[in-house]
Amino acid sequence: MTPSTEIASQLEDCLAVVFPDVPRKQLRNASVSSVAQWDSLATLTLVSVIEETFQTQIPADDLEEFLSFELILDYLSRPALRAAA
Amino acid sequence: MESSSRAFLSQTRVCPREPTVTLVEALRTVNSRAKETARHGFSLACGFTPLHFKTFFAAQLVERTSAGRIDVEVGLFGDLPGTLRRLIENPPDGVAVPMEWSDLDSRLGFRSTHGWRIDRGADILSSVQMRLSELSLVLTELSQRTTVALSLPTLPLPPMFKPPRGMSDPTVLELRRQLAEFAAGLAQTSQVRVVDTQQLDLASPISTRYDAASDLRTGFPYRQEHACLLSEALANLLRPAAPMKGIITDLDNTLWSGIIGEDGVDEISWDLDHKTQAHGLYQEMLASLSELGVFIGVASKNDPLVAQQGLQRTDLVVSRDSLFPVKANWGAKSESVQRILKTWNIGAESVLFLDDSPIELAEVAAGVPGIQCRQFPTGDAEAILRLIGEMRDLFGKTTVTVEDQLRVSSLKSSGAVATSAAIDPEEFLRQAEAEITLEWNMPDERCFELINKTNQFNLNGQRFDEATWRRRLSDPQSFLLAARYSDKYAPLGKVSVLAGRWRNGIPQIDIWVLSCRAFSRRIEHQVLQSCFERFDCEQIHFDFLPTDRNAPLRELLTDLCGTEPNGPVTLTRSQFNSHCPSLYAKVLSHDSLNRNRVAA
Repeated sequence: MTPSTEIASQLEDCLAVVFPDVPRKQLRNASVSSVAQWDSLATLTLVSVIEETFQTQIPADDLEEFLSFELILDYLSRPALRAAA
Repeated sequence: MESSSRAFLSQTRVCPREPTVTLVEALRTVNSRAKETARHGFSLACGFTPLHFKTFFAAQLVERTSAGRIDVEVGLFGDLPGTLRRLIENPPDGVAVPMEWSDLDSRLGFRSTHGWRIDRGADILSSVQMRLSELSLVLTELSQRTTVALSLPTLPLPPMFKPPRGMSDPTVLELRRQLAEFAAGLAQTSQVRVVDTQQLDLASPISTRYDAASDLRTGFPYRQEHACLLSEALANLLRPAAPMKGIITDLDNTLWSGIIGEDGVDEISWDLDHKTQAHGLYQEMLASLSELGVFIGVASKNDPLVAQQGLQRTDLVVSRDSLFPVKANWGAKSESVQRILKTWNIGAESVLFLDDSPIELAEVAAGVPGIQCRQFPTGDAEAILRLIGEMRDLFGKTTVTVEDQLRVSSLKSSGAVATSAAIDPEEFLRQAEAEITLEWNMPDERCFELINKTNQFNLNGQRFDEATWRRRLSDPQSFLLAARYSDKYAPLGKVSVLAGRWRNGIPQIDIWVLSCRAFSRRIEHQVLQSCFERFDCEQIHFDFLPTDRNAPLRELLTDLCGTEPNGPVTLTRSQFNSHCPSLYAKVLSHDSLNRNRVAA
């Protein structure tokens, strides 16, 4: 697995545990607009799960980027964050 | 959280800062039950944003329930009294109340300003006093309808008072006094269960609890580890584990320090002078647990006469009468343990075996499947004190019944019964001067305990949580019969509980248990006879279900019905009359509406 594939897979696991009602195959297309349960509290839970999984700290100011699987994957794939993790 | 979580949960009680359950694990635990149709509804009444606390709390409850989805509802931010009042109208299965200072006065939290003026102290004290009075009333009322677990403020107060930190301010001391008075009042006069602050402090140091960034940003004030530990403490009070029933202890280097066979009876010790006080404290714990009705037995590799010399020392902390039976011999310890279990007539899984020797522990673990074994850490006072604390966790009870205090004496009297019965059972029953007191619709703690701990004479193995039990008792179609027994040998206390509902004009029994200490007295026949008389019916239906351990009840129904039941069964009055043996006990009947009515 390449690093980016591995990040995507781990991120999918994170979404799966926070949104257990969303079918697995739809998780990579999940976003605030497509998942009814994805509210602000769910975002905070998701961020904590991601912090736990990737062993990193996400600054509060960055939470506004956590709007979809794709955006989060992009965020997590940034070299600076990967180096910190 | 899964299989290893229980081990972790017990470790946290004695080893603070161990790795905690992660949020991912907690979410997985909760999700594992999400599709189940049966549900348990709980409420988290708090004034802060519960966020991960709700997840950890739900996961802890999943761990404590055998099946069913756990739904946790939360109240309104900043309105603890309002949340509790609303719950009184529609009480859930249990309510956890993690109270914080800001619930008593918002100026005592970090999310408000303009409260730290010097002249505000008296006003804060006054408003806290009023809030505590309000909470006391509403919590008392709520606790009459459902199980309530309360934790007192766990977070530090802001540095809002005059002195430098490190010096107590009179206002803070007065706040703590008010809080202590509030908690003591609730614990003494209501059914609210209050989290032990000292135990929580040991597991979750106060300096590591508050998450300022999270509190100021989202209103969730706890660091994850504290959220996990506090939710565990509250869940423990809402769904406590059933206490274990018996302890089997070694003697040498366990009950006392030294080897009596080599050192001599005068050289064994358990006191400060010999630097062996930890053994005295272990005896103290055994004595205390014995008062709660815990069986304490002895399994020792020793000459029986020599062991008796040690046990006859008058300065033993634990009463010699509390130790029963004592098995001192040179055989395998597992055989002694098996004999003790047979005397107690309880399963190995309810028993803790303590010995200083790893070899003996291994031999007993292999020879007595299911028993819990712990090494007694002779020579390590701190480890002994940790073990003693763990014993309190495993055996502690919230209430002590009359039956708890009778247990050991009635067990000893069973020996006399068995001996007499072996000669002529019928004659024994005739001369036993037995008296059975039937209590109709008079539920108490003992009924609940008996139903949830009896395995052998148990109609179907059904267990109840407190919420389900309360709902059942409030059903006007339900009935409950408890039986107390005494004879000239000893009182046994309340030994049988039978319960059911009326359906289509027929009493349907779905709960029936009889303590194993009360077997062979024909109490079960007397109970059935009283049911036929009281219900004035021709048949009674039993929701029997065979379990791995309820052969005694199956055999009774087989005797009475003529065929072995594999499921629900109906017993007719004529079947009962044809097969019921002679009954000799004097029966008194009481009920909640018509007291002291003599039925037979």
